[in-house]
Amino acid sequence: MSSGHRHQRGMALLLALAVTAIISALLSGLLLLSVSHLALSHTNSAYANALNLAEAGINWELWKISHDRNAADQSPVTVEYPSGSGRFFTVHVEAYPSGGTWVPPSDLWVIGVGTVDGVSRTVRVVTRGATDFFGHYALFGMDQLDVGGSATINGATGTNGLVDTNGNPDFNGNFWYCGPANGDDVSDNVTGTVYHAPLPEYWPTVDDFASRRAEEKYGATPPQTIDYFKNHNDNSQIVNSLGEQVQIKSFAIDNHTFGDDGTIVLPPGDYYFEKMNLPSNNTLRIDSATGVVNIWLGPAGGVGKADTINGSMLFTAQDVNRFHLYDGSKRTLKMNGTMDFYGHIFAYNGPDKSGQYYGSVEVNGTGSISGSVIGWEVSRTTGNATITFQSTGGGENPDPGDFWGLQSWEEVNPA
Amino acid sequence: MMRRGLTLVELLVALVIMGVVLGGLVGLWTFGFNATRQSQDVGVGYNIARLEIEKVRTIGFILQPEGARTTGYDGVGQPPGSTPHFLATTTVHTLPDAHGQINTGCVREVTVQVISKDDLQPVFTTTSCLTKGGV
Repeated sequence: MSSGHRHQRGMALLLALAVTAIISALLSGLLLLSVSHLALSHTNSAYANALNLAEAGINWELWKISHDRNAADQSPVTVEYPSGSGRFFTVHVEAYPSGGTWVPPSDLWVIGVGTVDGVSRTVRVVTRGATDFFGHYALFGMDQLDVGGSATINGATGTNGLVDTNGNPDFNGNFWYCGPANGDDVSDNVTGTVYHAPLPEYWPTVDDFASRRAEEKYGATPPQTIDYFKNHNDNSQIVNSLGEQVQIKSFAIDNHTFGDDGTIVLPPGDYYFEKMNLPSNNTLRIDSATGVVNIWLGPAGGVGKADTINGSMLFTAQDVNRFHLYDGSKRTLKMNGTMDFYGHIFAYNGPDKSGQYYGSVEVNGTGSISGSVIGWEVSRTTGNATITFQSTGGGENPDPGDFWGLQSWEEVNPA
Repeated sequence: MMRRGLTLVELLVALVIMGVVLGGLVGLWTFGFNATRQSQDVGVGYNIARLEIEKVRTIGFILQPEGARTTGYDGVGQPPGSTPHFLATTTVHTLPDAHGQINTGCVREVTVQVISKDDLQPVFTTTSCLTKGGV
């Protein structure tokens, strides 16, 4: 064998190893690139998930304080969401803009932190308690909405239940079929849009309002019912037109309550009655010019003859947020006659011991109601009443069940 | 003659070494290819999911229908391709309140799952929630 052959000995092996090494080096680089790209994608997906979680936390807190603002988390709480997912959000509220403890109903920060696979994102929003809880709808019947004659509804109308229209009512606004709502087609009578929302509309009950008011005014420990006002009320403030105190016997206002001047006056305060039968030739003056007047009609679930307001209420202010008539009984509340009414009527209660909800309002006559009429059953059987939703009001404190509207959104630590 | 035989053995050894090493490298290459494709899918997937959540928010808490809907997207996340590469399933589920009731006072949970049509495996899943008046 020549020396040339000796030099070639082992060359195939060396060549194979060299080619293998080069391919390995190239592939290793590509592999490193792929792996780092994959890791980057996973990190970015964790960022995306963390943002969604942070916002979920904010909505969770908003939902919480919408039902009970005293339940607001003043210090951070961590929640696994969804449960069992291994993903977490942390959320808390602070006073806006100063920070620190939030005192409702002032504006607030809601700060949510979403954490996924070690990646965190923080979002904070400024929210404000809505002051128009009653103001969304001019007319709402939870179980039944019966509108007839030539009634005019200016503003939104809605129901979670049966729609029954008779005559030729005018709905000057949007009409909402919420959840299982069904019945008559109102599209020919609606000037706005007819909506079909998948969920029934949520409402607090009269007792929810009563409990909040009792807590705010008297420091009562929740939950309370409308019956709380039987022993805690301002009935002793009721006077006649001469300023003389008027005795309310058995929590009843009727023709025996009115004296010679035929007028009784309710200054700002909370009043509790178990019977209202206002004669048309007398006047119940609501002195809402200087404050909020609330009438609580009890007892809770009480039965009996209908309460009637025969066009005999007079209001010293046209601010609809300064008068509330809460009916916690099973009696029907009838609004009759002709008058200009400024305030909200709310009659939604339950469930009682048999699981039933109740609260019935009839709007008759030819009066004009500025405000909202909301009840379990809302009906209008005769007359040509007008119900007008007022979009502006007195800026009173939010009522329970208010929803906290979003004012601004910002990410505190942008990715 | 013996020297020629050694060269053949040598060649065979080289081929075996190259075969073993390149075989392993093919595995690595396959892994790298899949990793690249997966990272691409994840990258498009979370953008699709965010788009789906924004669509839910645009419809709004009140009017958003309950239940699931599926939308097709092409390979770069543009809807909808005639032969979609991704399928995004958005599920809106209202959680009952303390009384077991469903209404606008409840939280509505939104889950988006994006799957690749290549292997029908989820590439991205995210969950958020809506509340009346919320984000």
